[in-house]
Amino acid sequence: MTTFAFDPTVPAQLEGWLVERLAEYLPDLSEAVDPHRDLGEYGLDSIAVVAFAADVEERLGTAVDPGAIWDHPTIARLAEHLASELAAAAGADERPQAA
Amino acid sequence: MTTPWRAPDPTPEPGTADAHPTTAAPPTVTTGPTAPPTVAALDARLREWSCGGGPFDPGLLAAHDEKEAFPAEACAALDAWGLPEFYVPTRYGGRQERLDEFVAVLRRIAARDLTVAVAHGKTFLGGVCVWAAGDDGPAHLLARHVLAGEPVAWGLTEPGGGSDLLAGSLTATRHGSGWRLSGRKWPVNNATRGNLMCVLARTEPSGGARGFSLFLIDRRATPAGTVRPLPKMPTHGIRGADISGLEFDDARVPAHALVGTVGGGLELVLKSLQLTRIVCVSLSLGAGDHALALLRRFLGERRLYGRFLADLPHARDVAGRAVARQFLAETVAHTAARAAHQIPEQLSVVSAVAKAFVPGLIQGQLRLVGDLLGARGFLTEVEGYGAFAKLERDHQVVPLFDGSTWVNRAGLAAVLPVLRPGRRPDPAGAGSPARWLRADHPLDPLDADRLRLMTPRDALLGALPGLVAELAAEEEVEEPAVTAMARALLAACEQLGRDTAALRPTGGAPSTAAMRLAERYEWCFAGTAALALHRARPELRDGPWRRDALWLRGCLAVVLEGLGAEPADAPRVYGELGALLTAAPDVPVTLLDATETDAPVVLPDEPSAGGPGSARDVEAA
Repeated sequence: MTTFAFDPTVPAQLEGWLVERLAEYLPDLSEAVDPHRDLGEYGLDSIAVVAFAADVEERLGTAVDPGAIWDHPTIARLAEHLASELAAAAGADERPQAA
Repeated sequence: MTTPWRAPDPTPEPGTADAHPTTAAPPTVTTGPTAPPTVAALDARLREWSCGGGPFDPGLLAAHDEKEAFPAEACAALDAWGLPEFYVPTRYGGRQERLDEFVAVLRRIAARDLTVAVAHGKTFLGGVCVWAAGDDGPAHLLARHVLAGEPVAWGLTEPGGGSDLLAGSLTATRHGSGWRLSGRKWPVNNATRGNLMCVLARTEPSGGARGFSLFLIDRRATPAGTVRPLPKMPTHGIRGADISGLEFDDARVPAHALVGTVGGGLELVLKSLQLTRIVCVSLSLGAGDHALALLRRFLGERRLYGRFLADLPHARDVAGRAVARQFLAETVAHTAARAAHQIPEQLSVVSAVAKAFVPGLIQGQLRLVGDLLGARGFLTEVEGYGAFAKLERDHQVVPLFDGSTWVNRAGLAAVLPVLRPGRRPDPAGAGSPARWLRADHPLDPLDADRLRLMTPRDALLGALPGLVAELAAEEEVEEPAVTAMARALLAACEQLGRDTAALRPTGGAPSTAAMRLAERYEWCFAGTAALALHRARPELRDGPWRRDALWLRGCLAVVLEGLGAEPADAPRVYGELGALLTAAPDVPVTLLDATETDAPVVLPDEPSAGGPGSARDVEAA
């Protein structure tokens, strides 16, 4: 079971973690990542969004399709979406299921 | 208008010596009324058609190429044979069921003429999004058109847009219950000759990943003058193919033209590309087959210094390298085609590797063959070898189709930090490629709903440590050279894992270092595919190419060289492969007998592993 120093089913805590992950993809960004800004505005191209989704899925242990990022295009909205998915799946097999 | 439904079971009719397209009939069916036209039957037909005066007569095809004319006779012959049925999934009344079978079919055609394969095969590309969208679109309508012989084009690219689908500016706006389309699609294979095109259009002015939708356009159903063809482009290869475009000028299309959901176009295209990229590599396999056939003839008849060229060690070595590349390309393509059934969730990686790797591997093979053919590969009218210059030109488009080598490799490079070998323990067992590569393994039905845009996993490469361990355990009975090479591959893969650990994720284009690592990943993947196929098919250990695992040693030698190693066994392996090419002139350079792809051991009504009820329900593609 993947363990975290935070509760990923709480949107605010997951949001902070996602901000850190995204910052890894934006080494040239001098300011803090704004969780309410559209990811596209950070210049994350379509390939990078796919890589980011794979990365988050791998670390979170739940399916994160890039489509979910397209439908929830800010970190805040993505955190809310993923937290509810994780809460729903809590207790179930941690193996991600194909969408 | 609609064209009458054509029954999927062809009327048995004896083949005629006269192979004129109008008399070409579907081949005799011997295994039951629902058995598809077989790859072996296609082989026989292609041989007939290639005789003087036939639709595949090399002289005729060369003349078309010279005049940049469409190979209409050959395409008509394939229509009459029933090839369009392979473009339509069984659930919509066609014969499309297994991707490995379709790869084998298109490969056979490409081995005769790459331009014909490109010109006809595009209907697979044009239809794939519609099948993937399923009943959420005009699938039944399209099936009727395709089965009636209508070609379908796939309009993705636009002037100035390159491979960037998000840059598309052709716009669809709502108009009553339907839509109005304005803009251009170019360059598109078969844009002008066909009536049907599956078009990606911007439906949100701001674009973005959810800002595009797909439409199936029937030009005949649009108001006159609102859809105009753009002129055919002169091309370096596939000169006869209709590489042109369409211009839409406020063209009204009905609501039922929508494929999938509004805003779902990009996702549908990206998933469909995972299937078409695998199909595209069959073009490379065919080009490789064609080149090796020419080389084989040349080596057997050309005399130098009082000896046949085949007897010169250098010639044998180069020929052996070409043969080894063919086996490796075939292994990767076959593995990818079966992966589409068994691990579709991971197809984003598998298809990117296949498309980035195989066309380049075959380009290299064509260079080797060209070196040996010498002047004959360059002169276009000497003793029939002019075909080589044409196929070499034709093949140059394959690395560009459906995302170039760079695009596919860049996609792989971006996920490399997640895929890094050794990052996670690898589950063995049911998901192992050594299981689903078995010839008698029942394949899951193709199911577009299982495709995903990305994956953090690669079950194929992940199986390498287990495969090497199994091989080593059998060392006494196996060729020790194979085990040594397999261990070297594992070491190279572990080194790749260590080197990838230093790779930083990036939000933009991947670095050159990341691209080089992705290339090494492809080599490791290819070597693993060869090992897995060897483990999966004990029957591949008998026969001229198979004794002492010769084909596998050839594949591993090419892979290890690609990874910068110098396997000690390589010169001997290439020498043996090169010698066999001429010593056994009737043995085809393939591991995949026609019988393996034509006659699955599993009976049609035996349930697959897919689950109750859904087992025979072929979803898509």
